[in-house]
Amino acid sequence: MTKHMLKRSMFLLLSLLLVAGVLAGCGGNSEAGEGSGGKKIKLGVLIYDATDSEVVAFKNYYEKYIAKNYNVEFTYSDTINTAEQEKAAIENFISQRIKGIISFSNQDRLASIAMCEEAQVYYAVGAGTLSDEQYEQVKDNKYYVGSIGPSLDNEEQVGYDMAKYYIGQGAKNFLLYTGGYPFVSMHKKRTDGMIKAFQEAGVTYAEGSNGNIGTFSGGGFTIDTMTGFPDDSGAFYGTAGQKLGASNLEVVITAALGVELFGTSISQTNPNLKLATVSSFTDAYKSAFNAEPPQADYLAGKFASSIGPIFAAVYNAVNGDIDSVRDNGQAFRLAQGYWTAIGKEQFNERFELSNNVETPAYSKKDLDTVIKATNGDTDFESFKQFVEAYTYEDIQKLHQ
Amino acid sequence: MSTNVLFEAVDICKRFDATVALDRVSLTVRRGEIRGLIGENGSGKSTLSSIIAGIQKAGSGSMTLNGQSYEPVNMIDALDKGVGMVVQERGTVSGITVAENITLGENSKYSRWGTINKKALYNQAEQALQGIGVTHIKASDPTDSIDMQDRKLIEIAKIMSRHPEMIIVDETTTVLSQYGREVIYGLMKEMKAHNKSVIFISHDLDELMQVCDSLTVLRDGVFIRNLEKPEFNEDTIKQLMVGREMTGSYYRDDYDGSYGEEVVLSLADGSKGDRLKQVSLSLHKGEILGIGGLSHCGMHTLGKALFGFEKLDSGIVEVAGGRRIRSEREAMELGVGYVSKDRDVEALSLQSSIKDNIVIAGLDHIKRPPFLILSKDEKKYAARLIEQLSVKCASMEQSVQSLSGGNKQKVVFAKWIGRGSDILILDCPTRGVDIGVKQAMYQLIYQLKSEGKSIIIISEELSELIGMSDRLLIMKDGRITGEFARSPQLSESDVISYMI
Amino acid sequence: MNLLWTKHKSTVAASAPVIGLILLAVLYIVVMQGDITPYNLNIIVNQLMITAVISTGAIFIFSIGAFDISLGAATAVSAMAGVLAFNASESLLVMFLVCLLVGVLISLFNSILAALLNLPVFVTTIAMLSVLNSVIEMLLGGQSKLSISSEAAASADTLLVKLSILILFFVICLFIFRYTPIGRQNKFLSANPVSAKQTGLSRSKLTIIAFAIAGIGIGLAAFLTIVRAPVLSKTTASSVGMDVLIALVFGGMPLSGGARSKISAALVGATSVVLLNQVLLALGFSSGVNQIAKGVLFLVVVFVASIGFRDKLLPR
Repeated sequence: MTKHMLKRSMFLLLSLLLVAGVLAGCGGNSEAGEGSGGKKIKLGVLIYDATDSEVVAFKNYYEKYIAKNYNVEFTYSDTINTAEQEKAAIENFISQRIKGIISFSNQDRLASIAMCEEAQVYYAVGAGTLSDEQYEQVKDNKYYVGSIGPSLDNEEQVGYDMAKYYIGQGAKNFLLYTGGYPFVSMHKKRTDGMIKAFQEAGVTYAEGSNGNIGTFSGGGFTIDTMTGFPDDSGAFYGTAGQKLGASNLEVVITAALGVELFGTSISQTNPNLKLATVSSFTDAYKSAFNAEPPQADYLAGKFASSIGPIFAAVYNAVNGDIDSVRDNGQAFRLAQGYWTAIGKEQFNERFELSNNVETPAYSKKDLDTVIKATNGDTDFESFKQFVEAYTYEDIQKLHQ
Repeated sequence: MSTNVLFEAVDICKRFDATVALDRVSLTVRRGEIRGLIGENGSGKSTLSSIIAGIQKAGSGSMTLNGQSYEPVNMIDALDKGVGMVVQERGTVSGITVAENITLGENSKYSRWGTINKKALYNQAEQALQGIGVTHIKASDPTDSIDMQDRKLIEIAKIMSRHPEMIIVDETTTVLSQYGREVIYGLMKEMKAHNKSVIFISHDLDELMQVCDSLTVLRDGVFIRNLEKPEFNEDTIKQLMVGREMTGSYYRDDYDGSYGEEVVLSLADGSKGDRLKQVSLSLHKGEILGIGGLSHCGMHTLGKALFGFEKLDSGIVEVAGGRRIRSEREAMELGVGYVSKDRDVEALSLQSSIKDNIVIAGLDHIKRPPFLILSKDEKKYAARLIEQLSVKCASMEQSVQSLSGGNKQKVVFAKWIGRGSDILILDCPTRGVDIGVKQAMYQLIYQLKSEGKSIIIISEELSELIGMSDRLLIMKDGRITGEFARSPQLSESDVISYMI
Repeated sequence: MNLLWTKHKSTVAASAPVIGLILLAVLYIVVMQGDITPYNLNIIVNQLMITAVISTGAIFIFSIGAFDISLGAATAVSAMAGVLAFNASESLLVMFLVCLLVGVLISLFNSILAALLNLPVFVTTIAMLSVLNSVIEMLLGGQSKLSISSEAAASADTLLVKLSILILFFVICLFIFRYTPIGRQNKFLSANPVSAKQTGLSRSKLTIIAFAIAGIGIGLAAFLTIVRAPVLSKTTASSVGMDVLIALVFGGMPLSGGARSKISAALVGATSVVLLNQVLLALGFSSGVNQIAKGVLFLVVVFVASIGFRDKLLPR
């Protein structure tokens, strides 16, 4: 064998070792904890972005808490950006004999549900809701379990509460960021809530043309608006910098992505502004709240274990106990809103509970009360009550 | 073993896939000897020399240098051990300066903490150039601004600056002018005077016989014979190389010099920058028109312009009937073929197979209307031409890269002959081709003439032009300065004064 | 053994992609423990379809030594135009024709512009990428999604329709590549552009033809994209460019073109990638590990493919 061939063989060997090593190292988790309940039930989770901190927090909860305490095993999709990818991910789940899917991806819900029905796999919406029209089409579908997430009413309430709070604090000069208004219904509802709060405070709102955001006047308030998302041109940040630099501006209330889009600009142009937004209790927000001066002041956020109840529902379904979560024989559509944190102290308290995987907000003990296999008495009413008592305070009570 | 022996190679074998390039070849080089290595293309001389220089490894066999085992890992290692080689193909790297080329592989010597000591680098390079008696090249010049010949000199300077015990010079003289040749002959003599050795590879038999002390003849990868200076005899050597007696004359032996009346290709007032200044010429049916001159006289540009490959600033190229040639495609449609001087770069795709190279020019002839190309038609076409031109190859699927210079050139000829070109423009058709093949090419060219084809031969070798042309044009500084009819009396000295 | 290896290594390198595909198929059967349903086969076809069609067309581009960075965006724009056409006409045929037309037009525009401006076509595709991205925004008109109803798409969402499109397109491309001058001229052009020019080949003409064929692939893929998942967004087809590169490398197509270009690479490569993915999923690997394993295999493939073509750097 020549030296050359030796080098080549070494390369191939190393590559194979690398593959083998990687596979052995990470493939092991499928066997962990087996034995107690026989073969584990496989559940698939569709995710919209594998690197998003909210998704990472969700994954942590399922992986480090639920999978350890229940006889289940989770598989995750790759990042889903398109309807095609969503479809492929579901196909792959089905071909891997998965029993149920919890979806955090919203490309083509109806098509997804249809695929699951055909393959007799349960499908549930993790942190979102269906529109009335969509719900009508799938509510009788035997394999559609239901949805838990902020309802459009919740969304409107969130916007309303946020604006109301600052009006109550005596703020007069606002910048309103409306995200994908009017196309993203979530953002539209939140914005509508804010508008409502301002109107109650005596501001006149003149609607914009073609459903676009309008203008505010009167009531002693100065309210500027901004809509849309950044693109390659950089124009978005230019405008943002300009608007944030306006003198007398006190509060920036955003329908979404507050720290992500405005955090840096605020600390550069006008560090004393108060920023309010809707997001989740993630590390990014932790640093924003704990910065000096703070980059964020008000958060309506999702908490990591908020996806506990939807797991309980799917778990019931795959155990053959779907009836215990059927709303009059139909798929449920339950509202679960956000935790609100104002100021650093509240944020840190909630952050701690949200991200704890030893004693999460929804522990096994809590979830067991709505799982038929462990609590024969549970029914839809108790499940509904359980889901709807979602606030930080409710959950504190639950644990007492 | 005599202490007089500097280098010895024993039973060297090398194969490339199915082809045996060297079969148990041994070679002994004495100190103070200039050894010529001679053989036809494909005889294995380049393979042998590249093994000695560390460019590739022998399949089996052993080498010693100064009585020590010698197994170079690469060219730099060989140079460290005392063996340097001036390679046949371009050996300099573009995009860097002359100095960087000369000191390539030793940059660490001139760098400290990541920065290069430019001054030391340039000094070293200047010294190396002066060492071989070259003063017109500046160390700080970018290599790309320098012509082929000077690049060769840079390469030689680079090798000589390492004071090798033995140098290998491979066919270098084909790109060198008289000045360059003088430089290299001087170096070889100097090596000899210092009791060092030279292995010299060339196609030019006269040159070898003049310069070398002894010759080693290889044929088809096998050692044939060693000849000492007193045994040198042109006919013997040719016979040893080719393996048969060379019959017939080298060039054509008629002095008829006749050709048809009809003008098949003409250029009127062609100008292109400095290279061509209002050149007019006509090629007649059945004529071999030679065009000669120094390398930069404009004749190569002329060849390209006639084929439509180079756009003229002004002037008209047309064929019989007045149809103009403005692009290669028009030229091809009008039955014109062009063999480039720069075979490996322009005429062939080295990575493609022999078949693909031949067929590509003849697709319009192979296709069954309206556009169908069948593999069997293609193979038949290529096989016919490989046969007709006796291209030496294991299979038509073999890549052209693996062929010797002469066989590559045959493939280029096959491209144009295959599509039945009536007019052939041949730029340096026998460059880097050895005598066996050369003679075959001349015979082919003559045969084409007798078939009524018209041929332009552009060449830097006067003997070939005088030997082959019906009519010879000499160029200088972009103009035609002389015209000669075929005649037994025509000699190189008659012509040369028009060139310089 | 050594001699045998030397003698056959270029053959081995040339057939490595097919051998790899067969190995993957065997591996797939093994890891699925023979439990392969029509559903499994169906999803393999579904998942390789779009990449295979675009890659097949794109081989013409790669074989001339060119590169089109706007493949994905062109697919998205063609698909969106198709959706708008369907919504206006309610006809799948109209949608199909519009997809095809837009795909070909975009591609032709790229190549003709390059020929006119005498630029490398890669440059015009970069400019085009930017333009197409704005067109996508424009067609979306501020909405996040553009769709047709899944019932409307369902009639075309059958294995028969999809496989017919793939096979027909592949066979036509195979024919053009192997049985007309185009394939040979493309390969020669990228193998040595100067020699190609001296042999009368026109870069512009070949580029325009290559892009026209690739454009048909884009149009077909756009149609298949709608049929497969009739909801289009800003990110639709955004991974196409990368998918094509990966498939072609797995299929043994040199990305710089040249003599070793082959038309089968698209199909072989796209199938291999999907099978590999299925094997890794069936083995229960999470998506992250999956990516690493794919990356390593990618290197191995490139390495194996190059084995037969070293050593021969010097002429005899």
